[in-house]
Amino acid sequence: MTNAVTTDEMFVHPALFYRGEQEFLAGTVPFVLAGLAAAEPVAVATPPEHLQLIRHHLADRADEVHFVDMTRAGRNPGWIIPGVLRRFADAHDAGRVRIIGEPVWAGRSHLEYPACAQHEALINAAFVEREVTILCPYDTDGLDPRVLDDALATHPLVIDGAGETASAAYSPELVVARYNEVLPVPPDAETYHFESSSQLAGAREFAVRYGGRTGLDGRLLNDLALAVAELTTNSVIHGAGSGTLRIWTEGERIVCEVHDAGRLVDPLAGRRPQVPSEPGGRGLLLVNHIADLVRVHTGETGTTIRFYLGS
Amino acid sequence: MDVSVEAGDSVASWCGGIRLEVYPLMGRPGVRAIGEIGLDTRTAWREALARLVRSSADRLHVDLSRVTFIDVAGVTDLAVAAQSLSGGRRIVVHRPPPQLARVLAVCWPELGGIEVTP
Repeated sequence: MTNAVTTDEMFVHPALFYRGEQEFLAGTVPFVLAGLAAAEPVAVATPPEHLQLIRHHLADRADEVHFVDMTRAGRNPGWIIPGVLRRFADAHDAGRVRIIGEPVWAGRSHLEYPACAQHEALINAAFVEREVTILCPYDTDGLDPRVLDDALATHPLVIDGAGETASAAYSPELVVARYNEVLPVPPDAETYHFESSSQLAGAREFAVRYGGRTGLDGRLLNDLALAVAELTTNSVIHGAGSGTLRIWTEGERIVCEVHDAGRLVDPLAGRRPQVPSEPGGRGLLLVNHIADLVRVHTGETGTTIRFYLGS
Repeated sequence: MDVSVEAGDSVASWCGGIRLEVYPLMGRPGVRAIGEIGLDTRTAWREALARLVRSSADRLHVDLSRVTFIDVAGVTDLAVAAQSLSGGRRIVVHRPPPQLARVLAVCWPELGGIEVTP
């Protein structure tokens, strides 16, 4: 397996297709060591088993690497760009930065996966002209063939047992569109329509009362109030002045969504880290941070932003 | 409402039941807000903060003990006001609603110029 990831371009985003532990290590450890040898800041964001593996094989060089548990920091794929990747890259903005980012693993649910695929696609837009290399490992034994097909569309480069090749199927916009799925609403969802800014407090209180009835604790109730306030306020400002809040329970989680007649035209909305000097634009970012998962559907019929909060 | 306006300028803003009143504090430089800080009360909140940072005092007090909710933009206004202070001047926020600490931690983790007392 080759480990020579091309670096004559600014942003480099290869998928690493690996089979088994040995191929995983052969594709990741030399990548990390090459970064350290070039004095590049290196971060590894993967599930904990892979963090341990890489840490073990780096031995005494492990202390030079920043490790992130992707199953925690990246549980919501919408938070990975601002909260994991750009957080590290922006903190080291002199020279090239090297990151291993594994956002898709075999345990990702069917609810999470569409957000994972869109996240992988949007990385390319988020790092245009940035001197950053992000290597994304994909487990070819454990993942669905459809997931591997999507990875060919979201990564300009693919590394596998045969070496490094440009992906002929590279087409990230197609993946963003493919997973822009209609989000079905269960029949037991409770609904609140708001017609103007004067009903924003009512919408928030409606959601908080629901959350309280289902036993959400103080912190999660507070997060629910904040997220609902941001999404409903966005609807009033950007979404034709009105919208619909829906809330229900799935297993242990509260699910809440806000639908309005507007269209979300910026696919990176909520994924750019905040710029201290710039007012505005933090609402969706905050929702991405506090939620376990955010799903979005936008199109001719309007925009729905749905978030899941753990209990 | 059982609030008396003591001195100086006060601002009040309400719309469809969402309301914010801002009064100068007695005895120290600062303001006390009552109500909710959100889309309908943003103008009043911004005006109050703009007036506050014009004061030359080292510590500018903002009492939020009677504010029931503040949204991300409201916290952002406060953070922007704090950033505009120079020479070691600070905004001291008293008893804010729980959203404030959450938003500051996520959106402004390294913000100076602001201190929060529970």
